[in-house]
Amino acid sequence: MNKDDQVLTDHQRQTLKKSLDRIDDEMGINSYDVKKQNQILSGRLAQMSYLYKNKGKQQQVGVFGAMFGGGNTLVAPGIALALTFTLGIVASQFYSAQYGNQSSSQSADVLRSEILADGKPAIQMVITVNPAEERSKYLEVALRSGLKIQANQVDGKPSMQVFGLEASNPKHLEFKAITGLPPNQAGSVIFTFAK
Amino acid sequence: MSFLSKFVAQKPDPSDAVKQLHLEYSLFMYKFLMKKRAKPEIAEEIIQEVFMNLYENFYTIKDLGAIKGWLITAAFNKYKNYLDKKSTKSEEGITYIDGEGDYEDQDKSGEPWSDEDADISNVTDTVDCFKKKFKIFKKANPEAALVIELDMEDMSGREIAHAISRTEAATRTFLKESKKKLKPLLEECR
Repeated sequence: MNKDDQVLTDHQRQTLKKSLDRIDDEMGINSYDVKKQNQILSGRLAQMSYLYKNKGKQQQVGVFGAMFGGGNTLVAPGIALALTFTLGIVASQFYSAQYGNQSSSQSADVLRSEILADGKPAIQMVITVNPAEERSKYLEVALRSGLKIQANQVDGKPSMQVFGLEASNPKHLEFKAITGLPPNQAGSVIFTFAK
Repeated sequence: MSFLSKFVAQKPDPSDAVKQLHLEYSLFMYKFLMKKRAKPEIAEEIIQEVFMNLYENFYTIKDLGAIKGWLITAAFNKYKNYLDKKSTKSEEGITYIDGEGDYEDQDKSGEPWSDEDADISNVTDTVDCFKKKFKIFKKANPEAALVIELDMEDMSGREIAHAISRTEAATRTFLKESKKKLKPLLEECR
């Protein structure tokens, strides 16, 4: 577009360009590390690509766990939540393909926690033969119920946190029923899955 | 068959193309997010998200010829959503753990501003004078300044039009009018 510039002279354009570059320098724009960011993106795309291509249930769960595992320190919390949700939608498509629209059956023993009154998340331990697979079921139902989730690892065990459970929201009842939570459970719950 | 498996069955994995586009355009996007006063870590994360979205939607983008415009629009929209969300959270009395977000002293132009910027008596050279004049211009005309900045990045008319959500013809007119507004200010730098 600038080739058709009939307003500014060449000298004005060149000087303006230099002045904008100077503003960029002052703002610290050159501190952006393209290579490093490209490597981070490559890692994330590799995970997404893997999700696209592999259909083995174990592999899917493994990648999904890795995707959220350990907490990514490069991700600011607010954005992380959005990212989690975005990836969750992908995962939702993914799990729907595997499980269809059937509800997951609960085949694990649940060591139930009390609803905590001080606003901290309740913690629930789930004992199961296959912790990763069990978590994937929980994730699927949570996503289907429209809940926000954060999958993670605690002491090497798969875990997940569910945010925003409401005591009287009928959409959350399926999740509560399948996970063994009381129907009036509200707030945030952390599930830890172990053998 | 889910939409993802259809995608895989019919199209090659676009990750290499996306990574290449990231190498080429991410600095440009970062620059404009910083100009909108995004914090560096927020700008970086938004850019990552934009490229992951691009990967997911690669084959649905109709106009890959204006990809630079698509990328900058997506980045601006994500940043706007982020600010909206942050603003809502603040209204609800919920604050983010690390206080992330735009800087509190943001002016409309989206760039740092001080009284010093208005003072052109002590400019060191023409470039410095232009810089100060442009900041004054930008404070009063943020959108006009943005379109000039995009033009100075050698973006095509189509790309700029995409980025500012106008038609190409309207963009051409707007750019010309913006430059006409800026020109007298620059001519004060002798």
